[in-house]
Amino acid sequence: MSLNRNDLILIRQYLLGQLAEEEQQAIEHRLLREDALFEELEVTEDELFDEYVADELTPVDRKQFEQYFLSAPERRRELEFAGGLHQYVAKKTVPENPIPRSLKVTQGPWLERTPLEGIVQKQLFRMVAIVAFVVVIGGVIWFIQHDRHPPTIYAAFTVNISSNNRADGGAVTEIKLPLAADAVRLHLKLPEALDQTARFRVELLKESGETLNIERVALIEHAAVIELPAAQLSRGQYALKLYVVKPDGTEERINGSYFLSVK
Amino acid sequence: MGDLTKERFDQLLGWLDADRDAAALKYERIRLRITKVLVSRGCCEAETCVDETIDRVAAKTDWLILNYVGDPTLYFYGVAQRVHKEHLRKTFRSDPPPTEMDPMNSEEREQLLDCLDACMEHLPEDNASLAIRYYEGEKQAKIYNRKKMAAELEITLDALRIRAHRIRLELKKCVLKCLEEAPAH
Repeated sequence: MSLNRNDLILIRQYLLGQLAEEEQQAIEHRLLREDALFEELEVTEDELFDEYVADELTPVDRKQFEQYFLSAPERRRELEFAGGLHQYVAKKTVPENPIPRSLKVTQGPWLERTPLEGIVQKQLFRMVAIVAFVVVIGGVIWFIQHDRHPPTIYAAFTVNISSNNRADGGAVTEIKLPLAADAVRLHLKLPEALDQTARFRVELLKESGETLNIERVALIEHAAVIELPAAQLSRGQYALKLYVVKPDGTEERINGSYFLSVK
Repeated sequence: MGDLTKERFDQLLGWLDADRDAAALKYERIRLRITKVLVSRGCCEAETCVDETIDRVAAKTDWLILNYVGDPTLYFYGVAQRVHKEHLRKTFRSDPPPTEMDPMNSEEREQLLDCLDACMEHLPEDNASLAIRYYEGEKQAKIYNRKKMAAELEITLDALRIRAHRIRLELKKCVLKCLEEAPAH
């Protein structure tokens, strides 16, 4: 079976101990039977070692890596190998005879310029500086908006679909605040087995009438799984609607709703 | 393995597959994957737990042959989970927490680099240069470099990741052997 984007995310979360027990078991069942997934696990292990050695993990992942991933002695030995490989490659890829810094700036035909070339060069330099400034500022804004580290502690809830509305006795899952977790992970049980590669979208309706659109939906063991930061949950009633997103972009709503009561 | 006799082991293989070679492959596959799962669960003695799992499954082979329906891998997995839980309870009660492994000293690191050098020499030239290019660079430069490599080789980035991983496995095996054979300091 070929792997999808969700599988890659799940494997990384599994290795870093960021999955709930139920999800861990589901992925382990698959690891035992699916060759491609097992190989992906090994590839991801390599990548985690390399990112750790190169100091490229986010602070949250780095902490999980040290506290969870490295807890088995086998992994600590592997880390030595990864460190050695990193050092070896760095040594091998340094130019044998690097050009001395002084030669780089004082010699070469590019320094013998006409006055016009000098003006063009100056203008060019100014433009490059402006572009670089815009890129840096944009990068900082993007980083602030996007680099929210994934929460590490989840409270997982299973929510069953209900064909009735809440008033007519539809099944309601209760969540009690405050939560001892950074986020909630909702497993929306699917009414029937669906294609493992299907994409989903979830609409979360609050009783105030506000609607939240959630497109980051994983499919795990016949459940559509979404995550919500705990801070976004206030006391009240919620209804969730699930849509299957077809390859042509059209959507089909799955009959029924999921109900939540946050107390 | 503890109490596993040849007879029991043969019986276990027979349960896995009627063909002896196919059974041996299945056994190795199950062993490797259960070990990886236990390591991923942070088990400090994964090999010991896997041995215990296999002993327990082997002891029940008579019953399994007559009664068990389904993928044997999942039966091993169920037993491995129980063994791991028992191991956790036992170590929690009696043993002090595992001590940190000593990091390599400079001499050992030098030895590792020498072994890497020797093992790279043993790799086919294409694989050695792919490995060095694949791991070269940092952050964005590394990503760009890998995209370029995949385009040159006319393969996807995922296929390149897997190719690099397989070369790394080969390299790691060679380095471990080299380190074992190296004179102790």
